[in-house]
Amino acid sequence: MKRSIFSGCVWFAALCAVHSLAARPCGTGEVAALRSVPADTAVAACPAGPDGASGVADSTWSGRCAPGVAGAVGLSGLHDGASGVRRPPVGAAEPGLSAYPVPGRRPLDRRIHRGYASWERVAPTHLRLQYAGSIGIASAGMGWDYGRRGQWETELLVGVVPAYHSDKAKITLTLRETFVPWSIACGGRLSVEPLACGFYFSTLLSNRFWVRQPERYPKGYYFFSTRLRSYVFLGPRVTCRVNDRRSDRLLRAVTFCCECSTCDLYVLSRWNNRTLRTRDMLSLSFGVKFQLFDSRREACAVHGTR
Amino acid sequence: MNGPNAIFATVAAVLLFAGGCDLVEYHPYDTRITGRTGINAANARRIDEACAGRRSIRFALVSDTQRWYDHTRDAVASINRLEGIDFVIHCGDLSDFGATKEFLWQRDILEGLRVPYVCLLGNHDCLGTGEEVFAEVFGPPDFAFTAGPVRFVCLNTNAMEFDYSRPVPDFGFIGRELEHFPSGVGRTVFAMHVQPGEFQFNNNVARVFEWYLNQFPGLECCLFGHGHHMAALDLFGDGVMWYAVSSIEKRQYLVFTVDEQGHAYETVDF
Repeated sequence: MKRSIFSGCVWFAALCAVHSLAARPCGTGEVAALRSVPADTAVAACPAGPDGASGVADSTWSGRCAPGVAGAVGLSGLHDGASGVRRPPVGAAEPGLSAYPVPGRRPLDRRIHRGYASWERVAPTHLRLQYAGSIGIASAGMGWDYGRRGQWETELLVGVVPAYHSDKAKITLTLRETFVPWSIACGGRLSVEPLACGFYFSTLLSNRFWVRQPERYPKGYYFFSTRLRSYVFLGPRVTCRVNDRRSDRLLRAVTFCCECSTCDLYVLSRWNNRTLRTRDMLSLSFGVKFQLFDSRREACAVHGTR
Repeated sequence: MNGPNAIFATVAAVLLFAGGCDLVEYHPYDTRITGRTGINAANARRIDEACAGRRSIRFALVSDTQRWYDHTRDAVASINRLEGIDFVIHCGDLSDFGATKEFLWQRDILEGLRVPYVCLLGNHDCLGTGEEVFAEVFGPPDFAFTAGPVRFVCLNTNAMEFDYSRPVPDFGFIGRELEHFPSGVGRTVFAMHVQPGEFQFNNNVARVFEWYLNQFPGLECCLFGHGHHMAALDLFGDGVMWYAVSSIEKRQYLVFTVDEQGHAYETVDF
């Protein structure tokens, strides 16, 4: 059961990664092929499609444009009166996607568009690499920026802990939540986020460790889990914008992070013990975040809005 | 050096520096050990050399110091003030969670003792990767050493933690110790974390265990911890006394004096 859940998570993560790399900004004809445009809709200002045909603005697509059909406005001979779908003439040479007539707008079409928009929201907005931080010597994963000013991040990371004096290396799976209250533009391409804080939960993917004590023990024998750990962290970040907002490159910005964290076990150990120093319970980590889509936080920082 | 190379060099330098920094941890169970290791073997040799030819020895017994670092530090200071202590036996449970750092913190406190010490494996020490850390820092969970006229046999009796995956207690080890018992030594003391009759012990072999222990020359007494309270009892009704030391939370430890005629103990509160 646990293996199937893990496999499902891996496949889902891979699917998100593939989809995010496949999604392209406005102007591509394939995306618009799903759109429906009434035959008599007036052509609004819109970037032209790859075949040079003019596009039609569509309010349900958040500003993205759907290239129209070359010469579609005014074509009547090919209209299928029964279904409202326009078809290419029989025997015609294989046309491009933009040559297919677009059916009239229907409630079913709107539902399909909304589904696609929801799928895009699931696509991760950044990738992260991390060194140390008590979740492995190295960990990597993806994340999602969200919030009105892009102040929230959720990340899923996979890490590896070397064997050292143990019998084998261990794999960790971590779920992180980060809050970045401020982002200060430093002029040019740099911005500083003086305080990024949050928490994360990490699990060891090994049957040797347990969430609840094995059944052979009396109830309450061990009150803690050896498999699940919870951490809190905070630290500063520096972001460097790599590509302009109007660029069609996937990588937008790179963020360097340095964080201090501690886990539940060390907090309990430090409790009521002056022999242990505060630094004994702290763990240092260094991370790099690759922003794949424009973050609203960075937009607010660059333009000085709150 | 151009921009990207400079960034790479800076990042590499920071990581190299950070890797050697004790603030960097890969996981609470990463078994990444720094500092002194192999302590039991080295200290057992020191005890043997210091007590060689002696007819009487005196040692302190502590146990269950997990998460009580202040009390452990105070116990070390108290033992250091005592006169005539030859060594210290820690009866197990140095850690509460089996985390690597817990062993290193306890080790660093016990290194403050003026006399050598040995540590036994407790049930909490077996959690997570604790067993591997214990084996590296202190040594095998079953070991023995000689102090003057007494042979100390220290055993791993945390059977429930191993769940029949290996023999606990290890009668093979006990048999080899009996077979190779050093000549010129007339008394035997056994030390363990968990005593027979307790949940952790493999009570299926409790009577066999008793019989085997009584085969050793001059069985003086048996020492254990785990229960977090002090006790003195004839566990099997065979005349052999079993002594339990309380956890360090109670700020108490025991001091034993053993010679060729017998033994005596006292409770020390600090």
